[in-house]
Amino acid sequence: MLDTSVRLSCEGAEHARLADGVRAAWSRCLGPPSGDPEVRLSLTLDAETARNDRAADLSAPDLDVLLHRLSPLVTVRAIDQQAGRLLMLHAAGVADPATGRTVALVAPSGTGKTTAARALCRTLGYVTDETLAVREDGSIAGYPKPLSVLETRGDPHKAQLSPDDLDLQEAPPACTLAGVVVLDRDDSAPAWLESVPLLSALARLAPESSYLSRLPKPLHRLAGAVELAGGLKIVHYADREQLAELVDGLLMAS
Amino acid sequence: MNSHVTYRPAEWGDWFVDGDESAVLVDGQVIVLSALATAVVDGAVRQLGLRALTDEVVQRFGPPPDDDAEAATLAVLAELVDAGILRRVQ
Repeated sequence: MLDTSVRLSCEGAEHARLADGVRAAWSRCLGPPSGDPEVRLSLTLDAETARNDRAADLSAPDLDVLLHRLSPLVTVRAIDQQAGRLLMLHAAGVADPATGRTVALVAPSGTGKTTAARALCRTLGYVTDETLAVREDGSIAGYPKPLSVLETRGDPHKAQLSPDDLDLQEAPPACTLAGVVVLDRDDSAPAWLESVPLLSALARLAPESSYLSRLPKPLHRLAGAVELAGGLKIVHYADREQLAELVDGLLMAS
Repeated sequence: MNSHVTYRPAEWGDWFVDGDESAVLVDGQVIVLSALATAVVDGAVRQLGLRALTDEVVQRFGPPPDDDAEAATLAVLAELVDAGILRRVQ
């Protein structure tokens, strides 16, 4: 995931239950063991940490809380690992299951990426709901992480649900960037796409990226991705159905 | 402004030119530059002196309303310095 090998070591007396929970939530990110993973994290439940007198990288009082904290931790570590290599946008990614052409749905945290990915990936392939990473050649480094879903109103911990649990379509193994849109759910009716000039697109996307400055010639890299995607567009919409139609249209046009 | 002061690019992350305009990445922020500002930055990159730079700007964009082209160029240079795009060199 994100071109980064991550090893999660589940420790303590409840390591088996913990490992089962992690595997279930991260079902789309599992791979064969790597001999030399780039990121290593040890996980345990709180009681075990206290008993062993040994701090794990992440401990929590129960499985749900641990999974809730694990997702951002893995994301941060993987992003750190790819600084200077991948162009990383704060975006959900949805792909045409047949061709792998992918649209990046850019939005700040908490403004609709996960909701959009859940809605669109009933039919489109789920690439990520968090960080869309683009290699220099325009191909995508997928990150099909669990989706954070608030199941109970008032619960501070969002449930971490596997895309498999949510019946989201799988993205094909090879995906390429075919569109970049900024989500603006402003209740526009009808929904419409606003084209953004290239230089303004750079200014708009830079704050919605991670470690942009660490890339060689970062603005050229970002501009290349925007041009490959046919330019940046802002999608003004009111509901999911409108968004789905517009994204389908972008994928067909590309 | 004395004639010994020149202007050079500051420490920026990247400069991307698109037609007559451009964008600069400074301290993680993208600043979009007008055609005039882009021409001035381009002159600084080519290490033009104030007089040569002013001549180029006037030739391309015409004289300013008050006809004081050198003062107008200096004003643009000062804005670019304030934005962290150029730096003064003695």
